[in-house]
Amino acid sequence: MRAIYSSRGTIAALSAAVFTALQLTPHISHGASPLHPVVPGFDRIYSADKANAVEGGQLLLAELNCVSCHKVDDETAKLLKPKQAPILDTVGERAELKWLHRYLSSVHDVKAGTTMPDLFAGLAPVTKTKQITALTHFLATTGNIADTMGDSSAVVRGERLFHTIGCVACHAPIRDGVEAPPNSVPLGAVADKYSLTSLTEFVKNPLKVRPSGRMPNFKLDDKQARDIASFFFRDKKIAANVNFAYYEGNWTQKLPDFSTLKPKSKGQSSGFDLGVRQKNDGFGFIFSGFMHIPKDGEYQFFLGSDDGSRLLVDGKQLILNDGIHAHSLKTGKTRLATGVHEVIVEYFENNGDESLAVEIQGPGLSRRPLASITTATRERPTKEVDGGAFVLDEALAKQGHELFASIGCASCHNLQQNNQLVKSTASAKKLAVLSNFAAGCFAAAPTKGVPHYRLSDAQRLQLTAAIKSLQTTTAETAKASIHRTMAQFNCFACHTRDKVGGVDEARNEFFTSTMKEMGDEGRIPPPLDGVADKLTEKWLKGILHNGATDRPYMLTRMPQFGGENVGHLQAALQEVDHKTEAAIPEYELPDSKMKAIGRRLAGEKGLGCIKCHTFDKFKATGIQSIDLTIMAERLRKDWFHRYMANPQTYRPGTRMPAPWPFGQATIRDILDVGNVEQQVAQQKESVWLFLSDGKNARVPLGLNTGGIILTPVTTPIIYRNFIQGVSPRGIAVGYPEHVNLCFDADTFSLALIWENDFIDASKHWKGRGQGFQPPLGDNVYDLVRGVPLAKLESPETTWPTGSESRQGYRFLGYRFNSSRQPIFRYSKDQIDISDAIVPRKNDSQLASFERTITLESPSSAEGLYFRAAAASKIESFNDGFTLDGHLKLTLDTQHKKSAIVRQSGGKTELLIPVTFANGKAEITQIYEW
Amino acid sequence: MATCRLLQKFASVGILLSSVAVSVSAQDAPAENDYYQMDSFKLPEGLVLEIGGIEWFNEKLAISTRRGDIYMVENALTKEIGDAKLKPFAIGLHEVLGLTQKDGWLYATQRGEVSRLKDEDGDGTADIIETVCDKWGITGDYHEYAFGSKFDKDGNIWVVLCLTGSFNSNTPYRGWCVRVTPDGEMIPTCSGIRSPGGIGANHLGDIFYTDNQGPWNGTCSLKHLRPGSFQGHPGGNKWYDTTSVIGPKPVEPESGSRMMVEQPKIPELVPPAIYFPYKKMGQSASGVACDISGGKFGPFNNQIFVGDQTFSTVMRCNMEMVNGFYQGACFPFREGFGSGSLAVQFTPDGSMFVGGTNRGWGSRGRQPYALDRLQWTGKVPFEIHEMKAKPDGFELTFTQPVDRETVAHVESYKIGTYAYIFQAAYGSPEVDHTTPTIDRVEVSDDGQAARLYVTGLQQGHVHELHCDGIKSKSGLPLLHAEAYYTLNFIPEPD
Repeated sequence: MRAIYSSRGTIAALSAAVFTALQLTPHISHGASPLHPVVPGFDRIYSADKANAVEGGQLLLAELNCVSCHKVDDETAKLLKPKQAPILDTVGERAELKWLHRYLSSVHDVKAGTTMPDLFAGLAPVTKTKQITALTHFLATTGNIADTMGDSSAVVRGERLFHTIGCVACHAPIRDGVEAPPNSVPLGAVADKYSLTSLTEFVKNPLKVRPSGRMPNFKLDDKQARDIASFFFRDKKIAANVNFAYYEGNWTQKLPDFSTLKPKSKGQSSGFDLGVRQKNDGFGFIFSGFMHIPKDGEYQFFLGSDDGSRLLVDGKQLILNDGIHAHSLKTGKTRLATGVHEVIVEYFENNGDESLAVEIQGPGLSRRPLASITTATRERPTKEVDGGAFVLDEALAKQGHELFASIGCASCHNLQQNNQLVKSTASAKKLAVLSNFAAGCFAAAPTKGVPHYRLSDAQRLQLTAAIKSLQTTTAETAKASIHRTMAQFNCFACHTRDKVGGVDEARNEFFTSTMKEMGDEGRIPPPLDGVADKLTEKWLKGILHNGATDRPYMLTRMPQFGGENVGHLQAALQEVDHKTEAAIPEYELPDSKMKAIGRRLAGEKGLGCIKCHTFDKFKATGIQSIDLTIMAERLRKDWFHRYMANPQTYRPGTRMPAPWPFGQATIRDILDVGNVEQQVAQQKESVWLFLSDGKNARVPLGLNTGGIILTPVTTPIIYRNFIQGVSPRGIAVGYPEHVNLCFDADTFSLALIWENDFIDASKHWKGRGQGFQPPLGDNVYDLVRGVPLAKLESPETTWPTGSESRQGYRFLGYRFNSSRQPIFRYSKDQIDISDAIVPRKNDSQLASFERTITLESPSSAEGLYFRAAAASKIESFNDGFTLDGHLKLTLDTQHKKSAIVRQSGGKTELLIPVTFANGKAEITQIYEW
Repeated sequence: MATCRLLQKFASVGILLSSVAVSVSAQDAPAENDYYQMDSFKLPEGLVLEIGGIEWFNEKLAISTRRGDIYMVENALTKEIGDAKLKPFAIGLHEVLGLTQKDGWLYATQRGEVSRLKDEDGDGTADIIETVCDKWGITGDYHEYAFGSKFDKDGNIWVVLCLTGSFNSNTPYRGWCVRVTPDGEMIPTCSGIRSPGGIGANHLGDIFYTDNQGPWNGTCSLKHLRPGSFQGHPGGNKWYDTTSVIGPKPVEPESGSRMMVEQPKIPELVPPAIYFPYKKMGQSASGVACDISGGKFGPFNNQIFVGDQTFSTVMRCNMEMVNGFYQGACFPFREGFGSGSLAVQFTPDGSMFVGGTNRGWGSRGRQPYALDRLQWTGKVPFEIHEMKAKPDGFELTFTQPVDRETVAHVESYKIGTYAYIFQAAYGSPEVDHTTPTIDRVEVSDDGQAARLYVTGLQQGHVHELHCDGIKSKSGLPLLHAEAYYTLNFIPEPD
């Protein structure tokens, strides 16, 4: 950190033993420190409520982990769900020994409000010191902590994150002159305890060492975790960890041979810091230091500089980034053994901007500044504990190991060494038989050999009530289980349910949103009343197990508490909340048609859902509320139907308007089934069906603003280009009648039909035009491909496919009829075919085309068949056939009679024998879909 | 902007030829527009006309676009043009990059086919769009452009088919030139094509196309499509397996070599007739048109004009046959077109029309699309009319009588040569630089030609000649003082 330099160019004298100069971050203790252990759920709900003392006491039994010493039967344990203490397997890699020593010496002073009891409070001072020293040596065997440093921009980002993502829902905000709000979970002097690296690792995944999830996982990425950690290390001074030799000269092409030059100055710096230069152009450096490599393995180094630089490891050049250039990065890899390795970085600057960044990445080391693992001398400066240098004493460590088991540490903390869990040998009475509620842990003054919690009077009282009632505990209801869990995990800090909980006034300002105009709805986590009525089982489970990102505008995150810890809420919430009472309508139209209607309703000329809700990658036109494409996966259909009737009933104060106010359809010409109630229900259902396609749902109208939308107005529009689902020789035709088709000139087949919007030409008409464009509209029906006519030996002969099928075929283009509708033309052998596919008006709500194929042949063309359709399922009805239960294909009477439905090649095919009269044949079909 | 460019040009000349004084100041310097006047059509708001093909059809100018539309310009030849009077003829074809006409039909080369269109009922719009030939493949890759020629003397349309991308040929005859016969058959004609930008015939009816810098093309060039030839890019050679029309597959060139080192080893290989040195003449050679107006377009009758999309220019070329192959020189001709020049077309009155677009590939012309008309003002610019190779140098002819003194002075010239690497990798820098010596210059008796005697001609090199010191008889400098001669072969002495 730059703070250690008094000014640019002069380096403050730095002792190698800077560790003695380590300043401890002042305790974060705004206002009065609570004397009792802070259990936020207890303080928030129960401390002043004597009526529910048993519930409050049970909460304390779990959160103070009383039952780790005072055993209870399995059923009670299951009910209480006690909080497990931090896992200490590698506590030495995470916490400073100096801090551990201090903490054990004075638990309640070093971290006021901690739920950890003081195990030494009642001991004679000599015994106490001996025990704590032994334990410290024991804990020192669990690993070494590495010193690292942060940077000032990370501190600023970390502060912002800490105060926005939800840390301060439980912890106190860290602001000068601001008192800690009540119910704040104490942090202690975080920077004394952790190193920047170990805190980063901890906040990235707190559940790893604290599996009980009271500190949840906020899904921070590496940078964010480091930023938050850096915020806690903002005042920490870090030792010089690199040596430098500083040179001046005018090097115009590449690095000089420094060995022939005399340095202008020498010294130590914190990091590979160009700040110690004395001028801005024409200078050079040799930085050197020692890397402490934690594990054998391959390490990658990153060397970025303006101008040239090179990096040597153990005297060998690994990266050369020489020459005059703007900041550019080069990398190099090498295998390194555990231990100390010398690193040298040479650097020069000719003129202009200057920069140097040296980073490392490897086993157990995410990409980070190399200086975070270097020291200026080969030896690490000695650690010191309790005023003296720390040298691990095996005998003391062994004693500490025994103490860890005997005095009760192991009752709460898991600590595994050599695959062996340290087992507690401490004994205590069973919880149920406790009778003296003024002695032992309850005693006001510390007692020898008894953990001292500093319980408050209210805590004592309610613990007593809970213990006394143990015998009468009955099976817990789902409702009670939800309440208990929400208190344990402090869900109430953010959410309300059953009128309990919600954001504290003092913390309210820290709940913010990227969408200010959404008001509280955009910034305050949602109430959880009826949450399992609303969310699907899958979605609810996902949130409980993994956290949520449904509301990207809300800066407070829904963190991951972990399925092990809160997964049981899913069933309990469902039991309490589920309702199935919506009137879900039947409908006659095909699903694809209903979806098309739903899409229209969701779009700008419909109900305008897209004005406030995002749609996958598309931004909404107004506020950016929850993504429509996750709705069907997220919401229960039954709830959706009820909610849509009047959102205010479910979410009082929501900005979501009622799409069907007072049960009326504001868009009356859609699904006008003659009955308002039915119409509203069917419209809702159409929107639901549309949303059910999730990410595959077609983009609603009004979002595709960058598009070049071709809209036929009076005459058809032809668009020959690459259409998705068709060969590159597609000819798309959009009709003013809102029906569209794509003819495949490669296979002479009617390939796609769809309704509503025609096509967005922007893919092909902007830039170079790569790619295939799907139809823009809805209800896209994919018809059979392959040649339409073939001579078959018998009605059983397989339909020809592949290149041989094109034999004798020729595409002839199209002619326009008087309505400017294209009539496609092609020939097979001697037969000329014209294929007229024109929109057909009809009374039903279905889209429709009428297709007339006219064949002219000089010969009778025996054995010629027209393949009218191929589908998974073809069913006959009076005038025609239904394809896959969706598309109605109506034939003229003659051909309906002669049509053959057959199974061939794994599909059902509909063949029509072609018979010529006077050299002419005509087949008419009506498509409705 | 033009003045600015000219100033730059003169500035660079100053460095090149410090010993030659430039007596004409920038303000007095002749400008291209004095000789060839450019008029730009004002196109209707909202109508996007990225012009890829132009043809004179039924007394109107037919223009076709990348979006696939064909419009008729009704006021193409009026003196003052202003707003273009446009009428749609056909909408919704697939990227039309070639128009020609016969017997009342307009023929259009679309991406996937040659079609012919007719307005039967006389309402000005095509009623029939008939496929003539769709026998080549397309995959859906944007790069697979198809440029169609005018009819040749046998009634064929020549179509050059861009590769699938820069390197591959993923469907039949990508990277080939095919001829479409009057009855719709397709004859594979030449292989070795990379990425064409235009196609056109010279006054003798031989067909040329432009190919663009990239793999096996060190720089952009004009190439002669001699039937049976291999144009240098082997990416499409697999289709020799499916046709024997032009003989067996040629030997593959060796990457990293030089064109004129490989050419003797590969008899089918036709070297580019004219290289357009990269960033000097242009960056994306495009449309090809020959002035056969018999003088209506000025002094360049029978010369070929080639567009450059990036530079928004039209270049001028003269060619001659040496050793049985076309080769020749290119000269700057006209800059300042509105968009990236793509289609170039002469009309029977001797006007040149240039259609432009810069979608996907930038251009100096700032407009996204444009239609410009170029007409000769009747004033003859002082230009090098032709540059021809001689066994011992070059012969220059001029459009005007010259000032004998400056033209005879060897110091008036500067010459240098270079080649390109013939390679599978993208493009090439100029390599193998040499500086020949101009020993002496003889001026012809009529004062319209100069004979340069040069020591050190390099076979296979571009010879870049700057003639900044020479003047016309009336004291003008050359309108364009530079010429680039592609000396594939040095002519044998007679």
